[in-house]
Amino acid sequence: MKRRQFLAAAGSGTVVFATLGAVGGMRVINASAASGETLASADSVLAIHADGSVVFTSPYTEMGQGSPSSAAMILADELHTNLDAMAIRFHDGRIVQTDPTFGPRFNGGGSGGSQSMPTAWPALREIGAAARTTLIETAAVGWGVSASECTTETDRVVHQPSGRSASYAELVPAAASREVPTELQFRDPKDYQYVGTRRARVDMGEILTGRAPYAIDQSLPELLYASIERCPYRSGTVESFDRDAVMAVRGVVDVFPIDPHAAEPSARRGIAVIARDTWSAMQGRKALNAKWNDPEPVYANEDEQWQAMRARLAAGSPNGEHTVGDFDNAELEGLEHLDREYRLGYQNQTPMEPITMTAHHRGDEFELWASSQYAAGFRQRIEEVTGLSQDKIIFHNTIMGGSFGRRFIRDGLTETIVIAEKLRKPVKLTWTREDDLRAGQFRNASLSRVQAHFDSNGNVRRWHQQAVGTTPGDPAEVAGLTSGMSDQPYRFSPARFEMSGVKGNVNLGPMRSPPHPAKMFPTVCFIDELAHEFGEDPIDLHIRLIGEPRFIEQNEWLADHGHEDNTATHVEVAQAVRKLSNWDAPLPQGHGKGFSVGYLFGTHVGMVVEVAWRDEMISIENVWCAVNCGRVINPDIARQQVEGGAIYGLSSAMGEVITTRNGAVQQGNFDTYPLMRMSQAPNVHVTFIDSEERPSGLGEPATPPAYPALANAIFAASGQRIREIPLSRHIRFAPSRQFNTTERQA
Amino acid sequence: MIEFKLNGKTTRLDLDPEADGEMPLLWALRDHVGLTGTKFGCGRGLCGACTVHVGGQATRACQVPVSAVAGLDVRTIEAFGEDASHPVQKAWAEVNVAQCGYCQVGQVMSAISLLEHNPNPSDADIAQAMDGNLCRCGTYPRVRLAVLRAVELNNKA
Repeated sequence: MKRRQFLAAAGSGTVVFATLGAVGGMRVINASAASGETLASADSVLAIHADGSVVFTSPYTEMGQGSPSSAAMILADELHTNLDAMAIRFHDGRIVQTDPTFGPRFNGGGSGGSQSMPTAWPALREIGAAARTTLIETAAVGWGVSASECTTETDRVVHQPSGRSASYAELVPAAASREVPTELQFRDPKDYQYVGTRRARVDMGEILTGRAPYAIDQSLPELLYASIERCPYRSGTVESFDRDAVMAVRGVVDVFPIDPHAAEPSARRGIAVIARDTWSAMQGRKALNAKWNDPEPVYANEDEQWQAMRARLAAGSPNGEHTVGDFDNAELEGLEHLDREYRLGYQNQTPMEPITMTAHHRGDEFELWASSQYAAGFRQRIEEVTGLSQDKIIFHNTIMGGSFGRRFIRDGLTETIVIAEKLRKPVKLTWTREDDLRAGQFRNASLSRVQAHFDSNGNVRRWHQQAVGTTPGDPAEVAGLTSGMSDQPYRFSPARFEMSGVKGNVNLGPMRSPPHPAKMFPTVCFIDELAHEFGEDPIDLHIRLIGEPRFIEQNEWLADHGHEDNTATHVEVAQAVRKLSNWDAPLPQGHGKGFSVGYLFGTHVGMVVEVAWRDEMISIENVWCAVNCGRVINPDIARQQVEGGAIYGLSSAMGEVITTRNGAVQQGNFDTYPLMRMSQAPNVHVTFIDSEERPSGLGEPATPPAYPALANAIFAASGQRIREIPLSRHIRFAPSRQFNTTERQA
Repeated sequence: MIEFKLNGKTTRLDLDPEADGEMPLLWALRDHVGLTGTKFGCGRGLCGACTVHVGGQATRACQVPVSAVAGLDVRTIEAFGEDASHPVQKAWAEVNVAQCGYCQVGQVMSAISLLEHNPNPSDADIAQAMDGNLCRCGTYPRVRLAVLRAVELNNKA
């Protein structure tokens, strides 16, 4: 409590000056803190030790987006320290409980919503400045000079008039007994050494040598291995299984039913097989002969689901509605009318590392090795299920083999806790790929109908957009599916946006850029159809429909994170990608380009996709992206996120869909849930708009625009208008031609 | 006891050639040897995350029973040391390929095998050799650049 008071009194965040000590056992020596208080785990974002070592406890986890590495650049620059010597570790969630300022400053303590760089920029600059200003004042007091005459060089405070200097290490003991000054001295970003420069991930070497410690790589003495057979339907129960047959499988040591569903409604009931290694546990599952009590699914098959969604759409009285202008009395006499239906199937995040966790419940203590996008939520769940207090929970939050939203969900965690609680021995739970797909928590399926009335001059006179999504819960609460549908940059008036829900068979979870594909695919494709009707260039039409520059009212969450949606930026990125992609130049025979533009999580993205149509097959050749994300912290990591985000979206749009039969997911591995392969991958060309504005994020924004841009390109090349995701239900995809020629490129 | 050569060293596993023989090499490496550089991604030979070299050929370790490698040379990423100094690893670092990194060991192992058998691959050769290695982060354009860069580094050496 005393330390908390210190932080609150300091009012500027979590800087700890500490004595030399191992990470995980730092002793706070700040006089304001309780004497001898030991921090059991990651409890401060920045710690400067008396040996001069600097430890950055990253509020952001690493799932491939490079945020810890990029955030460290901001902190190192503001603190004015050597980034190469800085130690980086991940916060374990405890800091959210011990530091009341942490959650509000760091996106609630989770990594998601593309909010790492937007929160890192103000918060880590402030924390760096708090430490640097304290060190400057410490030196100034010691020298009997004015702090305003002092400045810093890397890891040193310098008094310029006298030429005296002291290293941060020398100043730490005295700095630790000073309050953080209320007036902070910020460095000018123009003097920054790291921000804006290309730097690799700090752990690239570990990745390339197989030493990067993913959760699946954790080992412990006497470790047991678990694999779970789950009810096929999300809310089913276990009826029976053949215990003797499972126990007869070589290597199996135990088998028992588990009910994580009680603590985590999105987790399934199932049967855990415990063995001496992963393979034996998986083999044990094959001998289960399990019988389930599965309730009747809502729909026997996918067709029934679409019929129900269409019926809901036709039934009117939507669950949510937003109307602009006098929609009901619009004069439609003599106008033309376009009316289209679009739909998107369920999709799965599919990180390459399946969910894997290792835990040891020692009775009075619970230790977990796992990766999470929301460490504090993981700790909370452990407390709820085990009844252990937070100080008895040790969480090693590892890097992730991808996540894309999947590792927010606590189904695998709850299973792990339940198993570890029963065994009271170290145990590792590994999901198979089949588990990942069949017990998935998916991007929602959605059905949209878009109608426009327009005059012979190409003026849209009335816009009507309706969407229906599914939910395992209350259909009245599906607004999330289409949130933002009415926040579009187009100046439609009168207009009406309606959203409704129906019951669905599956659980839903966040997947890279929820829920934007459900909004962008219908909207941007429909505008492309209108452009064709009008005989107008699609980019010209988008810009014309956006109209005069204005700020769009956006949701509270984005506003709270400091973002603004200026329609002029939509136009800016549209024009930039037009130029970058050479949009107006003639194309080779059979090629076509499709355009898309959107505002996602604070970032504006304009995208052009080029495809080739040959032998009745589509190949994706090039993607161009123009991005305005404010100040770019690490240009190459930023570029990676746009490249990868676009490819993720193209892969999803091409061929990914989850379907159910009698309630059970039909897909099981990469043969039935195909991801884009290297031979199909286009070149991705990225440009960032120069900006010194506060950064916005990049993990998600490049994904949704790929859905409509690809569909529009397919129309331009082939004349086929596809209004369903996955597109592969209507057209065949071929390898990208430019990388599959027999001759080497010059 | 199952015996094979692992990264140049004779390795004996306390596994029964008959009763445990069907265990895939992947799980024998990870759970019984303790070498975790080789990754599990699908268990069906569809994603390439578990690519190792058996008898000098790129092989999906999830598809090879451990009994089948008895007496053979098995090479995993750990054979290439901790300094990432192989030209393929150097190229991967220069091009900044990895995002989450989970598939990258498999990518690197496929690329090393490709260049050992075909030092100057065409683009089609590269696409073919690397097509079995899935990357959910979408690093494919950089994988392609990195293979070409590794060819350059090899030719300079």
